[in-house]
Amino acid sequence: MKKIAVFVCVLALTVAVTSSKPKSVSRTVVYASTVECKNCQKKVLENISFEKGVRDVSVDLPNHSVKIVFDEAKTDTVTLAKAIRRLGYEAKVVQFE
Amino acid sequence: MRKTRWYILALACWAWCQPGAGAQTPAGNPAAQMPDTVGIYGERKDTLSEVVFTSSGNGNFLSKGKDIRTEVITAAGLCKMACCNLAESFENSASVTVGYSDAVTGARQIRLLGQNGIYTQMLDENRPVMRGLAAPFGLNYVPGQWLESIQIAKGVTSVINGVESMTGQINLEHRKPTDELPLYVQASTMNDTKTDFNLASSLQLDEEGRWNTVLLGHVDGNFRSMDHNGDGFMDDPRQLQFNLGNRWLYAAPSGAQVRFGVRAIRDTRNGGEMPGMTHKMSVAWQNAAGVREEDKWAGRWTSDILNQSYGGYVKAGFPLNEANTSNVALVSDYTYYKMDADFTTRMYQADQHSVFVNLLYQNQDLEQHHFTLGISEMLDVMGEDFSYDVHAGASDWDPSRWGAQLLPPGVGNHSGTRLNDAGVFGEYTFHSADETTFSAIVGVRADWFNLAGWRFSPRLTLKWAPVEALVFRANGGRGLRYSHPIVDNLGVLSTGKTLCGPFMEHLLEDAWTFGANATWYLGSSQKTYLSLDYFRTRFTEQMVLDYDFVPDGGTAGQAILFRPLSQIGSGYSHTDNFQVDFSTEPVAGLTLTLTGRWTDARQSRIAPGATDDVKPMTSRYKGVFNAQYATHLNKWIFDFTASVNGPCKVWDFMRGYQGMYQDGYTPVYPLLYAQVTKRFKGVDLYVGGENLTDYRQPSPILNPADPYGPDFDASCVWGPLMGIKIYAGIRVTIWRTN
Repeated sequence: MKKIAVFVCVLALTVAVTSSKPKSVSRTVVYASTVECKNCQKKVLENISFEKGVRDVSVDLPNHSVKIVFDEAKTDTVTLAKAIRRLGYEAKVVQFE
Repeated sequence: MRKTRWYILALACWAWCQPGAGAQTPAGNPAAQMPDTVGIYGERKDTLSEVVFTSSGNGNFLSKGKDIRTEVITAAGLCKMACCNLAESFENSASVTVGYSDAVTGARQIRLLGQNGIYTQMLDENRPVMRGLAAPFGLNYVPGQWLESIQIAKGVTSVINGVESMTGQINLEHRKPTDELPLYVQASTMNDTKTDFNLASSLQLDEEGRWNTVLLGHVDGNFRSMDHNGDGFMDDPRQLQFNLGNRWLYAAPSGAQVRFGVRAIRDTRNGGEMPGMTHKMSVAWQNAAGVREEDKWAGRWTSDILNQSYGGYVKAGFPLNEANTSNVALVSDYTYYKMDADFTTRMYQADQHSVFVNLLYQNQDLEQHHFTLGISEMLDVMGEDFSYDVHAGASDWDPSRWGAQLLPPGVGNHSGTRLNDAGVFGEYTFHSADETTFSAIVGVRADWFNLAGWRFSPRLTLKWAPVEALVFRANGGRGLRYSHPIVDNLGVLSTGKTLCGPFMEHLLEDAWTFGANATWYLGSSQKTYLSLDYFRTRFTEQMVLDYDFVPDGGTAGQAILFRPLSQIGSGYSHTDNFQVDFSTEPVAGLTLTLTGRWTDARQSRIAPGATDDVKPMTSRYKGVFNAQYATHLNKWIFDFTASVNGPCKVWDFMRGYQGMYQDGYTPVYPLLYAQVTKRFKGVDLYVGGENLTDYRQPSPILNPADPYGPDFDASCVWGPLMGIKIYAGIRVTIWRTN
């Protein structure tokens, strides 16, 4: 039991330290994509979420688009588009803020 | 073993090497977007068809869109526990109570609406499964990691899947051939040495997405026997299970679909006393005339079980017009199951061939009016060979007064028993123009049972949503099934009690269930809701057991009487169930659910002098609290579940055993579960604990020192048999890429 308590504390500290890092500039990009089904949506969410610099990702199935919020210092729109294409879907920037 | 290892390795390599180039999204393939259930039956709203993909990590929830009250356990929910098998998937649910059949075989059983899980129809993508002989261990043979979602519906459901649903229906959606997951591997191990390994590989074999397949593999087992409570018996049997499945989907350009698959299971379980035990035989045996001195001693009492099953299915759907508003579908399934159980003093060897065929015509030409017509055939051919040692004193009993039969050793050989249910059915569905405000489903079946004749089964489901945030549901109807007295009550094999009554006969059990549900969604999100429901199940015929039966000349606790409810004067058997569910997401990523269930189960007692009619061994209430927190993008997931399990009445003969159960009830006990998951790209690592309070049922085996005696009983289980469990595991997911 003691070991579990220690492990949980370490995890909690790790999460706390990670979340307390200074935030850098976030940019938002929207790609027109060929994502059309729930299976595709799941595939994009499960993979793009773990791309370096990605802070948020959502898939709009009716509009066939993928919206990504990312850290400009860590990645860019070309890298992210490549990541989407690697999953088998088109990715064309339609909006960038 | 070596061959199996090579096979798994080769399979993994093959899956890994599948070309991903040109991977095309299956968007153009409609089959890719629908679960098997929908693919064949159309998008029905009363059957259990929905697969929920969620990225929020929400594990269990009540479906808002269903016409019938349905709890959904998603893929995320299946990852909350170690979830080695289907039974463990229900630990978070208050609707379903999970327990053990006995203290030696490791067989798990569930209860829904206060009744044994045998009255809940189990479906594998709308094919009835885990029937008859396959029921006692069925929950152990569905690996949780093979599943995409589970839907639990309370009350009687659609007539389309047969008439065996009495208290509810549980539908299992497996991983799909169309999933773009060439390789999924999961492995976990527990501190009790239980180890699981699962593999799934979904492959799309052509560019057009016509041919798709999923390979499923599972191995689990444990390497050590433990006896924590020092009663001389293993807490869990030594066990080794191999489980393989292969499912296919062919989607023709015309819209026709054919799904087929095969399955094979082999499981060995060796439980009972720890090695090295010897016993003096029972006093009655020792004193019987003519017993030689060397025969007064016996080796250790063991339970050795070998279960094997093989099967396959074909489902085909053919549109009759371009819009697919009219179609025909064929669903067929064959399963062979063989159980070879040796409980030292009792032998049960049985096999079962099961065939299920369903032919349906569906019409949805009119938007608000849909109807389905069909015929079905459900045939089981069983062979049973049951023998057991009747303790010496039982030969003096006079069973005639109870109309009961006392089976002498070696007589219970029934081969070629045919249990046939041929049915014709129709179902009409009306939906309001907006498809959400009101719906009514009226279904009728006429079934011919070869041992009981014709039976007519009406069913009705209503749903009304006067405002968007409020949904009322009601359903009711009749359910029928053949009883399998021994396998439905497998625990009777791990007792020394003498069995009395028609325990080798297959009675047609008959029940009516009615219930209602109200769900109030708070706020704009569907994640906050309050749900109340009430269900009542009343049997008009049932195979009833009584452990308190005392034959003339007998002693309490040494016999079990099986008796049809209709043969008990003014006999009754019913349960009332109330449940409250509350779920909310107070902050992003944090989901809290609180559920409470109260059950009042009553049954006529056969034994004279029985204390009251409260049904023994049925938990009165259960409360479950679950908290789950997922950090942004689900990179960390923390899950905590606490449950409080209410008392159940024990059999009268158990009162005062070792100073326990003085008031006739078991104690209330808590259970705690926790899990932490760290997710990386394609890899999840998790650690967790089960039964963290380390609560165990004290003395789960009655009279363990004399397993050859008439008072020995390992079937009176009401609580956890295993103490605290710590586990760790890994899930590796490889997605199809360009």
